[in-house]
Amino acid sequence: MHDEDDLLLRACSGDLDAFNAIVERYQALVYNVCLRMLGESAAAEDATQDTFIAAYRGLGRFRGGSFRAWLLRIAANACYDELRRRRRRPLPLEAAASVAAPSQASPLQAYLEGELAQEIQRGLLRLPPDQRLAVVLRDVEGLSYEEIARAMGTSLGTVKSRIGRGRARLREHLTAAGLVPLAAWAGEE
Amino acid sequence: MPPAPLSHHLLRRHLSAYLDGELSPGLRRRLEAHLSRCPACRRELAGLEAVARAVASLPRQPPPRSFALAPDAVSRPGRHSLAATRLLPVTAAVCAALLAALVAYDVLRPSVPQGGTAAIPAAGEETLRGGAPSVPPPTPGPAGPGMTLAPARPTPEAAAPGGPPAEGEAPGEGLTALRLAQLAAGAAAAAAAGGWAVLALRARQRR
Repeated sequence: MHDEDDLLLRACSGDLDAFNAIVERYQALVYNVCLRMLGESAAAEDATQDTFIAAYRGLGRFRGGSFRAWLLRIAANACYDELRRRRRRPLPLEAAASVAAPSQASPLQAYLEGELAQEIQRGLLRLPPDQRLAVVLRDVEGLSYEEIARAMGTSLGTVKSRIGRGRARLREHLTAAGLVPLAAWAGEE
Repeated sequence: MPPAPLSHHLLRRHLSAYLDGELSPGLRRRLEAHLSRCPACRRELAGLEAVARAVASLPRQPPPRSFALAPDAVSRPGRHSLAATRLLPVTAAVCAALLAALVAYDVLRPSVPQGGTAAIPAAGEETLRGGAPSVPPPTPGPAGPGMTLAPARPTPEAAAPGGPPAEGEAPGEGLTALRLAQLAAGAAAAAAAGGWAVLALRARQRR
């Protein structure tokens, strides 16, 4: 992380190349979180770009600690802004869930995987944004509860309950959609 | 001892965090003891695990392009543009309010008790006196309107700091100063609002 601190210090004093090295490092993370939050690549691109612009401008306010969590907090705000705009001008949910997966498997398997991914994405989009973000940061990005709490600006207890409730709700959605692995669990009850 | 329903409900809420290894050792031991006796909680845990696995199976997409910032797309880290975008609307609003106050002052002036032509030069003189403190005191006659209009004084003062110095008491000059103040406030409001609109548009184009 020495290397990252060095880049951050240089970026703080206006070295754009240093900042762009940081962008390079985090753009996949930020883009994927935005993509799962918004369900649509064009909006995710905009939110990602806004995140890095806001991060560059606000770099002077970064007070150390996890830069990743700080950056994700900005990304979360960019996504919430977009979701607020959408509430005024809603997108059809089906169109919003078109995050298909490129796959090297057989056409049938690729199709099934794509269907599954779309159904999961649809389920995510039905969660309240706070639960969605917590589940994405945990299950897609593998962050610890501690770091999620920092990225969401909230307590560990709240993170715990957001993830728990988000997963429970997602489970209902996936069970209702008749997805095979979950139908087996449902049949047991 | 059979599991108490209360502990079942309390422990059930921790299944998701248990799955992530985020429970304290004490709570984890109690939950594990409960799990060994409670098939419903085992099923719940398996369901949550399946959901977590399903979400984790979502493919990570490569970023469609580089998000590196171009030098002309951003100003240096700082709050210049942020300050500008926040200050401009405030400036526009203040100038617009000033203009409204000046116009209201202009419109309401004839209704001052003294009425007639005498009120006009007096009011104009008050305006100018605010702008240039070196001016001699007003003629004793129209003290009434001066008092009445006192609350309106600070506005023209701020609006035309560089206004022409008051010399005579001709009604025309007072009116001119007032018009100039109105013009200045209007122009400042328009300029601030225009600048703000340009900044907002540019920000929107960037997205």
